[in-house]
Amino acid sequence: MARDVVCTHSSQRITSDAIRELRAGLAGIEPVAIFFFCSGNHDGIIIQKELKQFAPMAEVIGCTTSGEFTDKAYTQGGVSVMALSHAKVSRCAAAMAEYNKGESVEAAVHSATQRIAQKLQIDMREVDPDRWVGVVLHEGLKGNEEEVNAVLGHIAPFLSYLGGSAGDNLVLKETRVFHDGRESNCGSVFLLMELAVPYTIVKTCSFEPTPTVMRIGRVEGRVVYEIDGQPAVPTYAAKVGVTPEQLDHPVFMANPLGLMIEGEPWVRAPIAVLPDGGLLFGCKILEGAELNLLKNTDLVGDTKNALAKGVEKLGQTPSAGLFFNCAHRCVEIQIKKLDAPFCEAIAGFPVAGFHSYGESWLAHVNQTLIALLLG
Amino acid sequence: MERLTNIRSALLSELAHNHARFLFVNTRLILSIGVDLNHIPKAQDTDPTKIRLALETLGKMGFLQRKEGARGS
Repeated sequence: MARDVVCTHSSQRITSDAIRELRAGLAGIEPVAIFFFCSGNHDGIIIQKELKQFAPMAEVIGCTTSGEFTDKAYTQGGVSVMALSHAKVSRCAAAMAEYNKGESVEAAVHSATQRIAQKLQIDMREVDPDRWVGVVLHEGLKGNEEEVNAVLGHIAPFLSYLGGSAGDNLVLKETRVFHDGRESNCGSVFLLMELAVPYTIVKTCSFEPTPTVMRIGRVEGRVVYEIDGQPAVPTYAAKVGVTPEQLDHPVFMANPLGLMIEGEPWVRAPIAVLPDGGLLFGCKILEGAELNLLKNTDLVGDTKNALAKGVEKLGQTPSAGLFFNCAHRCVEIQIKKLDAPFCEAIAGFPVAGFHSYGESWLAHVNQTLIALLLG
Repeated sequence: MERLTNIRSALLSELAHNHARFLFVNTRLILSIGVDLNHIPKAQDTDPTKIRLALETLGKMGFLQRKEGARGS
């Protein structure tokens, strides 16, 4: 019997071995859309080409990861794949935008989305956002996500593109995205789908706001130099309750800031103190923004609750879930030994996803899980 | 337009008072330029920088345009 959704995985570290396992896992489906997430040790171009050879009519996009998972597997060094048949995706098209080929980010995103619109013969601004949804995979180290997401909003303000930024197992050297037999270490891939089923988007983080508010002053890119009119590093440290010398990864991870919108935090994570006194964040922060210091809650419990709400909104058990989970959450899972309960929390339906260097939906956020649930 | 409240009214009108769509677009504005048209503090209503940013960004999204043709893909 033909299958409509396949979420499969290989923990093999050799690409040819992984492909053999993945192809076996994909037996019985005729996909029109395939997403793959592979560790940086794999040759993503070969995986992309092999998946395309397996399903010549399918659009195939992928990226490198900081860990990959399905509802049944959770690894670093492997590959996870989601394949969707025509029963789930009426039609789709994909394109890659590259930001190191002479075009501006804005021009490259316009060009890529125009190619998608032409393939599908649609006006992306006018399509029904209840039936159409996009997936975006960004390269994860060049810092283009904010602009790309903003331009997507200019092009199609009612349409959701959700996704994540490619990882490299926290080596922070090179991340890549894949499409059409090519890779980019300075680009994004987009896949726009007209769905044959309902969908919902879940955004969750395991944080809640504290009453402590920080007003952001001078900013350059993702680096904050002033908070509350004072130098950023000592001011942030004092508000968190440590000395500047004590600021390290665990302190940052437990004390991100949140832009509160309609009661929900959009997480902005500090990641390093720079030699020039700047506080580097994982995403751009706007000057003048007032951000709440966030406090940690229950990662597994919050994930379960958020997915349960998503299922309720969808009105049925999802047939598939595409998950983009922050690599910082992965580290928290590892440190707190939550691997088993986290895997159990996401095992209620077929899932494929990866641990990302930032998550995207309307904007670039940190320490968040963003998921696309399909009916 | 000289006030954010006027921009909000014009946008709501253009969206046929579809509040869900308004909130969706507003979330984009908050995240990308720090302008919240759903909660406009009195002190910001006539802030020329905020007004310029809001008009520019909404214009790029194809809203509040007098002429057709400024839209994307």
